[in-house]
Formats: sequence, structure tokens, C-alpha cells
Amino acid sequence: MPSGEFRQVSSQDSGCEALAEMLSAYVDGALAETRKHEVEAHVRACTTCATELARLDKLCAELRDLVNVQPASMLWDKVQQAAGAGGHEGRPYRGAQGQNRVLAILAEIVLYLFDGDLARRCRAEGTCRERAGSAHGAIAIVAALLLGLLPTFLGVTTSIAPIAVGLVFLWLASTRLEGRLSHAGLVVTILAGAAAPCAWELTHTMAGHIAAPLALPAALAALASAQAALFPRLRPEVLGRFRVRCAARSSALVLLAGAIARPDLVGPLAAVPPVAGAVGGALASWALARRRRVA
Amino acid sequence: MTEAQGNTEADDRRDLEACRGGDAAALERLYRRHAGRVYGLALRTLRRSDLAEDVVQETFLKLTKAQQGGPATSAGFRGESKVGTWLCTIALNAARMRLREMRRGALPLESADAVAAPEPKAPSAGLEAALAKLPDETRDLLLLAAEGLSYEEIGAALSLTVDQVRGRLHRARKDLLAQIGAEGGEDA
Repeated sequence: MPSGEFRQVSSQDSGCEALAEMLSAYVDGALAETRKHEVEAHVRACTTCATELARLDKLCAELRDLVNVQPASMLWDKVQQAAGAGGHEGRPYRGAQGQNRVLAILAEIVLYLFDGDLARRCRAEGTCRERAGSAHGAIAIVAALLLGLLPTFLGVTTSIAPIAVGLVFLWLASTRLEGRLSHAGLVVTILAGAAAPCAWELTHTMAGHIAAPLALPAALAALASAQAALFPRLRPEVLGRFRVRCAARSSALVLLAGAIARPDLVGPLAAVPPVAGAVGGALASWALARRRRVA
Repeated sequence: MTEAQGNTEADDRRDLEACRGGDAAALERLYRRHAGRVYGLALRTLRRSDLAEDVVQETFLKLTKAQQGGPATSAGFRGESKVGTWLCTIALNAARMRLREMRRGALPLESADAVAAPEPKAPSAGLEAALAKLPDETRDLLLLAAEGLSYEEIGAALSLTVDQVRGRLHRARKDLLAQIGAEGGEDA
């Protein structure tokens, strides 16, 4: 067939054959006026082609409906954030993907296990009752962390999920550990365990990359203060050191997790919030320890 | 093409120009007008909402970059087509790239919530399934036509002549109708 040409249409069978391709173009409004009139005249006289045209019309309408889908309203926020941040080489911002996500989670688990330092400090400084409690507390941290991570594996992206799991675990654990570690101690340890996945969830957003390294040390410093109330025999300087290390380590934790998840997002500026968090935590610890010594 | 889309080419070009000056509101207006079609195109190609959202982000980031970089950039808008067409072409290329990555296994299977949920309207489900079974090029052709692109624009996006577009589109629709009929979705 010559370029752009159709055979002459008639109301006979051969015309139907020639018309088939034109029907599709007719539906798209891609026919010249003369061709359009030919098709309309033929369709009026031919029920087969009229049916075919109706089917095509319906199909095209359904296809139009299919492609006209509104994305989630929060997508604009992501576009805006990514555009505002310079777009990171044109790659869209999203959380960790595939292997990176698993690696980041493993990194979090490993680093968080080091934060069992909390339990070790208690064991070294506390009474027998506290020693037993701290050992179970360490187990509670790990268990809550693993449970808290479960929703991430299952694809539940809300950060409420780890907290909910943590609370369920609290209820279960409190029935087991009652008498060894106070309820408040369990709340602290389990919330600490749940905090890591929450921070992880935060890193799924651009703001989270900045907020999490600051928020987590602050939260852990507060938790350490609560531990101080629970374990009054802890010496202030030990508590201070713990708080500093806790803040620094958790900053590194979040930064590392973020770096593994999205290496393209971590530049020199990304180091500023964790360093600021660690310094802030250190200053707060020093001030608190000093106040306790004075008291 | 929707009524809103029909009357927006002049607005699109004006907003595109405003984007050049860093006007965030102009970018938002462009997004509001075209995100639906870009997302729909990506979603029907990839069948995964998370990847489709990536494509939307990438498309609008490229728009921003093209504006920042000016017409000299390879992805720049040269005014030869409609803004919407240009965005669809970017989205289609980005979606194809992800589709290839997905088939190579470079993109992992995502969680259930990231898989495109079937439309609430039952008739679309059969059509969507049939569409997914078509070869990539055929599906692209149908989706671009459904986006309201002219044959010339589709040809430019897929490196085809207008005659090829017309002929292949006809065959694609025929195949699709046969596919739906074979699956008993003809009533849908």
C-alpha cells in the first residue's frame, strides 16, 4: 500500500477488508476529511463494520481509562523534594532497594547489637537483680528489633508497625520477666529496639536522612536518662560515657544504613547531622553528669 | 485526550518557560496536569506502583534538569512536539529501562502493596491482563495512542513511520480484542 493511502471503500466485502485499518485510524481521529466521510458512509450501510467500529470505540475508551490513573498524592512531595535537592543525577528518590535494603537492615542489626553495651554496663555496675534483668533486657532489645524489622520485610512501610509490634512484645515479655526487670525497664529496652526500625523507616524519605541521625541520638540519650533512673547505682561518669557512645554509635548506625541503602545520597554534608548529634549528646551528657556530681 | 489536556498546550509551554526561572509553582502545575498520564503509562507498562512512581519522579526531574540545562541538553524540550508528548516519551523510555532491569533480575520482586492493584472497575482487569501479554512494542503503541498522541508523535517516540504506526496499531487492537475475547472478557 502506498504511503498514507487507503484503498477506495465500498459497501461490499472487499471494502470491509480495506476499511478495517481505516476504522482504527478513524477512532483516533487520524483520517483526512474525505476518508472520514467514506468510512461514515460505509459504516451506515454495513452492520459488520458498524459493530467493529463500536468494539474499537469501546476498547479505546477503556484503554484511555486505563492510562488515566492518578498517582498517590504524596508522590508530588517526593518529586518536589528530589527537584529541590538537585535530583541526584536524575535518579528518583526512594528507599533502599533489594539487596541494599537487606544489607542496610543487617548493618543495623550488627550495629545495634553493639549497643548491648547498655546491658554490659548494667551487668558491671548493677546489683544481682539488675544483672539478671540486664541480660534479659539485652535479649528483649534484640527480639524487639527483629520483630520490629519484620514489617519491613513484609513490605509494611509505616513506621507505626514496629512500635505496635514492640508493644505486643512488651506485653508478652512483661509476663515473663516480671520481678527481674521492671516494667519501665522493659518499656525502655523494647522502645529502644523498636526505635531502630523506626529510624530506618524515616530514612525512606529525604527529610528522614537528615532527621534520623539527629532524632535517634536524642531519643537514645533520653532513654539512657531513663535507664539512669532505673539503675541508680550507675556512676554518673559511666552513664555520661554511655550516653556519648550511644549517641555517636546510633548516628553512625543511621548514617551507615542510609549510605548502604542509597549511596548516591550520602555526600560530605550528610556527615554534619550525625556529628552535630554526637556533639550535642556529649554536651548534654557532660552537663547532666556534672549536675549529678554537684547534687 | 481529556478536555483539560486539550486546552493546556499553551499553559504547558508557559509553565515550562517559568520553570526555567526556577518557578516551583509552574513545576507543580505541570505535574498536576501530566502526572496522571505519566503514571498511568508507567503503571501499565511495569504493573508495579513503586516502579511507576519512580518513573514519574524521574520524568519530572528530567524536566527540571532539561530546563536548568537549557535546550543544549540531550533531554531538552525543543518545542517540536507537545509538552505532554515529550513527557510521555521520557516516561516510556524510563519505564522500558526498568522493565529490562526487572527482566534481568536487577530489580527485585517488590512487596505485595507495590504491585499494581487491579482497578476497582471490573472491566479493566481483563483488559489489563490482556495488555500485559502483548509484546512490549505493541503495548507501548497502544498506550501512547490511548494517551492521545498523534501518529506522528507516536512514530517519533517509537522510531516508526506514520504508516507503520497506523498499520501496527490496527493489528495491535485486533490482537488485543482477540486476546480479550479468548479470555472470555469480551463482555467486559
